[in-house]
Amino acid sequence: MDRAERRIRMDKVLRSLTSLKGVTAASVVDPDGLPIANRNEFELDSDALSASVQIVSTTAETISQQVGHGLPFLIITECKGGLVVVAPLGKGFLLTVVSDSQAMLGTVRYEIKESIPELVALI
Amino acid sequence: MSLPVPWLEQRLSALQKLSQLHATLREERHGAQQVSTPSLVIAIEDGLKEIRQKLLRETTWLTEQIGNRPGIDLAFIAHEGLVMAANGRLENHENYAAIANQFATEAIAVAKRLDLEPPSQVLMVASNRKLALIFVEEMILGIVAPREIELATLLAQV
Repeated sequence: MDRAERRIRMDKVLRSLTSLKGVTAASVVDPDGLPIANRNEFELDSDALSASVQIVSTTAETISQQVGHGLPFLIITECKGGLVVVAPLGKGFLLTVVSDSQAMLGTVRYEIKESIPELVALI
Repeated sequence: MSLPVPWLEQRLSALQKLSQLHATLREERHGAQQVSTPSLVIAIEDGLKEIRQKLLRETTWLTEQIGNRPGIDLAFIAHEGLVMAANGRLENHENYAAIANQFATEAIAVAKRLDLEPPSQVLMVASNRKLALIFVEEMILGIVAPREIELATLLAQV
């Protein structure tokens, strides 16, 4: 599969995530903290978000290793306005999903977990 | 009281079929990845996405249909202790979803100790309310109603 095809497939996965109730943005971030694929329904500084989630991921990794839990596979930030969920995809790539308060955590988590194998194969 | 009932049974059967189909395709994807057949993997991935969309639509629709019935306090669907869909006048559906997961774990363990097949339903009747949990593959449908409500009758009709 060439780069353009991979990009199309990646976009399809992100579209599937943003079709969930309450999900407002989804992106794949590279190890340098730059978004390589992005879908959002509102004005979003995706560069700033991408850089921030790399920091969050590194911190979560340090915390989980401190307590002997190994590498994290999902980092969930639950806020009054909604959720920010970060899923490491390997090789330093991250999937980031943002939702408003209408989203159901169970559904978002389910779809993310199911989407990870495809995204891992695409990066 | 016995659950599931005709209308509910049909809906649960539809949900179960979708869930089983998804699990089968997931296995096939793994197999296709092992033998490196990209076109097959893509076709399976698209199939998985489509089934998941149907599955999620069905969970939302089912909880709306059950939760809107007079006499039902809450209907929810949980996956690994988290809410996928919920409808009803009770707001603590997150607690119910977490408890449903505990119940399922315990019920499976107890059934195993008693040499029973894995349970398909659990019913708890308290002095004020009852909680019915129905296991559908990886998901749990929970229904909360006042103790005196006959769930079998209430959920028998379309």
